[in-house]
This record gives sequence, C-alpha cells and structure tokens, in this order.
Amino acid sequence: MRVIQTERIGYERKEIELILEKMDPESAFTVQRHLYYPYLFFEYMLNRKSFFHPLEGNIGCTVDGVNKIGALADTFPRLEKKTVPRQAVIENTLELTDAEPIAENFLLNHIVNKKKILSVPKLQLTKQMVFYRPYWIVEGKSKASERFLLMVDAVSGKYHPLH
Amino acid sequence: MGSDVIIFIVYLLILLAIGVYFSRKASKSPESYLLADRNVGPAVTAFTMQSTSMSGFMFLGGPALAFQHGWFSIMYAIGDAGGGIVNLTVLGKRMRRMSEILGALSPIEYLEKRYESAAIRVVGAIIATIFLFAYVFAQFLAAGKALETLTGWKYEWAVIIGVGIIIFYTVAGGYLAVVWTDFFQAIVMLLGVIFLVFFGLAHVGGLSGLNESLAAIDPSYLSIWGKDYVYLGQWGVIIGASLIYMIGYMGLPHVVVRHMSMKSTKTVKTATLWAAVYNQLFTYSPYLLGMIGIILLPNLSDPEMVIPTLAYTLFPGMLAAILLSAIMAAIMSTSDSILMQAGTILSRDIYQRFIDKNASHQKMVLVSRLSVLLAGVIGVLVAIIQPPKVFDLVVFAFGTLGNSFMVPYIAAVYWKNANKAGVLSSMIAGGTSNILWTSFGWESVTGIHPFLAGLIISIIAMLIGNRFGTPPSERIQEIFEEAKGERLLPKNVEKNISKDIGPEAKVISVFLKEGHPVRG
Repeated sequence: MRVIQTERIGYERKEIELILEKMDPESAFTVQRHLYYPYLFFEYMLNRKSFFHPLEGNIGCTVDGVNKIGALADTFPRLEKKTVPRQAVIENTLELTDAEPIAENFLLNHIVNKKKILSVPKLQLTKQMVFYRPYWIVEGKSKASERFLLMVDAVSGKYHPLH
Repeated sequence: MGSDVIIFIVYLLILLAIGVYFSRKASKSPESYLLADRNVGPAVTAFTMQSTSMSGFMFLGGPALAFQHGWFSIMYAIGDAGGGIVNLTVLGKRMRRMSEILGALSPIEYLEKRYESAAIRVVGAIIATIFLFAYVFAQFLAAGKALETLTGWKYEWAVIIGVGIIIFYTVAGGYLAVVWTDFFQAIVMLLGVIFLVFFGLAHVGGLSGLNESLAAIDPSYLSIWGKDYVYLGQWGVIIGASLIYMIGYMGLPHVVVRHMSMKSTKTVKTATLWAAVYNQLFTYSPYLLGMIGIILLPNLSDPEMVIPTLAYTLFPGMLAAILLSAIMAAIMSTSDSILMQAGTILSRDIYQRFIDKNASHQKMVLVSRLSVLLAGVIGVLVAIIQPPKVFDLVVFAFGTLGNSFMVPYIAAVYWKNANKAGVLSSMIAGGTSNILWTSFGWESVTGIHPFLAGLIISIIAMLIGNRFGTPPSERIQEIFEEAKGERLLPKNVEKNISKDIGPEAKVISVFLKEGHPVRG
C-alpha cells in the first residue's frame, strides 16, 4: 500500500455506469477498477502593470507527470490523503524542478497568445505539489458483443478509449 | 501603373499579412510549423489540396493544350475533376491515422517509419528533393514570366517581387500560412475562371455554339483523339491523360501531406464534399476557355497566353485584375506548398534525421525556417540565371514524383505485408521508367502515356520486390490494423470522446498491457 495526495472523486462508480448507459442504452458498462495518474501542480501570482492590458491574480497549471505536457488548471485541485494499492498508481517520472519550466513556458505561451500582448508578464511561483488524479477503467460491451475499454476521469467525467 | 497592377499589389499584401498573422502560432513547435498542429479543418484542407495540385498549368499549359487539340484536352480535366475526391477517399483517413500513430511530420519520414527502413528515407529524400526543386523552379519561372507579361515589370524584378512574397510568408507562418493563403487563393482562382467562362461562352453562343464553330473550323477538334486524330486508337495515351491527374496527386509529397495535417479523420468526409464541388466548378473551365480561344483568337501566336489574352480582350480593367491575381494565385499556391515541403525534407528528413537527432523544438523551428528560406533563395537564383540542364528536369518532375511515391503511399495503408524491399523497388523502378519513357519518346512508339507506363512498372516492381523482403514487424502490423480504423466504439460513445486526455490514455493503455490487466 502507498499513501498519496489524490484529487477527490467527483463521479462514483455507479454514477459513471449510469451516465454511460444513458449515453448508449444499447451497451452495458461495468467499472473494473481505478487508477491514479500523476500530475504536478503549479500556482503562480501574475502581475503585469500595463495601461492597456493590466493582468493581476493567480493562475494555475498542471503538468502530466509522464507525458510532460502542460494544461491550464481552472481551479485549485481538491486534494485528500489516501492509502491506495501500489499496483493502482502510475509512477510519476518528472521532478518538480524539471516540471516547473514546462509549466511556466506553457502559461507564458498561453497568456501571450490569448491576451495578444507582446511583452512577457512576470510569474511568481506560490505553490507547487505532486498529486494523483483518479481514473475509472470501464469495460463496455456493445450490442454486437464488441468489448471495449474506456478510461474515465473520476473528477470531471471526461473519457477516452483505451487500445 | 494600371489599376490591375495596383489591385494585384493589394492582393500580395493580403498574402503577406496572412503569413505575419500566423508566424507566432507557427513558432510553438516543429509540429506547429510543419503540420499546423494537425488541426486543419475540412474546407481549408480541400481548398489547399486543390490549389496546390492545380498549378500555373491550369491557366497556361492546360488552355494551350485545349487551344491546340480541342476536346481531347478534356480528358485531363476529367482526371483533375476526380483527383481530389480520389485522393481524399483512398488515402485520407488511413494516412491521417497512421501518420499520427507513427509520429511522422513529413511524408518521407512517414514512409521510413511505416516500412522500417532508413534506406527508404534516403532514396525518398533524394528523389523528392531533386524533383520538388525542379518543380519549384518551374513554378518560379512561370511566376516571373506571367508577372512580366501581365505587369510589364522586368523579368528579374518580377521573380524577386512575386517569389519574394511567397518565401516571406512561408518562412514566417510555416504550414499554417501556406494552407490559409492557399484557401484564399483557391477562391480567387475559382472566381477568375468562372467570370471568364461565363462571358466567354456568352460570346460564342454557349456550348452548342462553341461546338458548331469548332466543327466548322476543323471537325477533329470535337474528337477525343486530338487535332487531326493524332492519337487515334491510342487508348494508352487517352487513359494515361486522365489517370495522371486522377490518381497522380497521391504520389506528390506536397499534396499528400494534407492528409497528415487534417484535424481528425472526420474531416475527410466534409473535405471530400468541398473538393468535389470545387473541382466540378473549376477544372473544366480553363480547357473550355482554351477552346473558346480557337474561335475568338484565331491569330494567337502563343497558345499559353490564351486566357490572359481573352481576359484583356474581353474585359479590360477590374476583371483583368482579378484574372491576373487568379493566374498568380494558381502559381503561388503550388509554389508555397512545394517550397514548404522542400524545406520540411531538408530540416526533418536530412538535418534532424542524420545531423542533429536531439535538436530542441526551438532549434528545429529555426532550422525549418532557414531550410525554407534556403530552398526559396536557390529557387529564385535558378529562375533568374536559368542554368542549362536544370530545366530539363522540370519535364519529369510531376510524373517522376507520382510514379515514385504513389504505390508506396497506397500500399502503406492497404497492404499489410508490404515491405521495404518492395517499396524500394517500386520507387526506383517507377521513377526511372517515367524518366526513360519521357526522354526517349517511347509514348509515340508504344502508344502508352509515360505516367501509365511508370504506374504499371512500379506496381510490378512492388509485387516482385516484396517477395525478397522480410514481413513488417508485429508493431507495424498492429499499427496497420489500427489505421484501418474499424469502429469498435458505439457511435454515441465515440462522439463524446475528450481528445485532451488522449496522451494519458496512451500511458494507461501501456500500463494495463504491461502486467496490470483489467479483469474480464
């Protein structure tokens, strides 16, 4: 067993099955297990004094702990400590120090592109942490008896097929 | 300076603005610069594919052929009308899927990864570089000549201004600027040609009037065998004429790269519809104008000038300006794509593959930009100096590229056991036979068009060569099956997939396969 910081589950096992069955009543869905996927979270304070485009406030970014890809974090993740089986955790392969430049680059690109500003704003790191997001592994069986697997984000409910 | 030239300069400035607008987006990563992040929608995919495929030939060489041979030339238009549809339908979805799974950013890299052979990349890069450069020289030369004739500028300045604009927006905005300028130029091409056909046909009494007048001049203009029935009974020439543009584009690296940059496989369906509509409106028109020229311009000395002369004779002023822009649009939209492809091959297939494998993203974007610039500058110098022998290559460019690459691209996604030995044989035999057929004039002896001959020989070489190679690895065979894209998911489930968690899905798939299986 292992203790990790994980995001709180937003969609329970039964809810996921019901949502998927509502989406496709002709298929049967069964949650098989859950997995924890590593992310690194960075929060920055943004302060740009400009007459035309003043920017102020906090901004967050998550970096995928395996693929090393940044993504905008809408809110601070709601975390809790949990003891989980080791075989349910995907290993984080990225150190906080290596992930920080990825997060900063991602945010700067995002700000410059979205706000259409030419000068680069300053970011001051305020928080950083490693956390794990729970994913449900769901088996589906279609009417034609085809078996397929989905991974469902247990926080947002977003899903993607597995091959 | 006439109003037509002023309108044309405004048109060039619009193209420049598009390049500058996309320059920041293009700088993000090599995938952004070389493939627009694989995020090009259906209308832009269809229009860039068509305007890239249809070069200055559609406004100069095509109408000249119609002016000389009458309705025989329509065989080329029939091929062209179906070309985009065939290309998207045959290769579209499968090549989009496979190129992404393989992580290929250039069509030559795609062949290397699919057939697991560095030799294919070397041979492919050599063939593509030589003939894409030849192709781009021809387009630059055409751009200079067309601008010189239509604006009165000195040839050298015409090349520097016309081609300089292309180089600038391609270097700055990369593939994204190329596809969006192509989209815009495809519309200009269509408007230009439709105006002319409408008024041209009105002048000769519609299609019936056109045919009656042609029959009165020489009845052989109405036959599919060419003027004076010069190709009588030569089905190999007739079929080859249609085939070259119907399927030939599937062998052109700068055209097939459009499959790799589509937003998703769903883009193919709508793109095919756009291409079908565009082609039916566009492809027949230049040839019809060539035939209208037989009646309205009986004393024309240079058949290639049939469309410009018609425009300036019938519609001086604004319409002539649109036409000038349309001719240049056809040339420029092909030139930028070839230039982009030549730059991609230099940076991705030569520099990164053989010189600096670990080049960073920023370095690769810079190298790609410099490669496009280098290809452009060489092209301008060659177009101005016009060294002898270089332009001999131009005659072979389209056919050799088509015959070298078409069979390998199709086999990559339709023949699971296609291997490197077969593909190398096919590339070399197909390309070489096209060159020999054209050089020695075997078309007149055999009655077989060089493209048709090259196609048959490349297929035979593929079948024979494949027997001597080893089957593809298990991984490639799995990728082949995946690229076929048979539906595993119910439609409603597939519709709501969140693409943004795709990278996580890949990791979890591997995690589950490697010893953490799901029960059931």
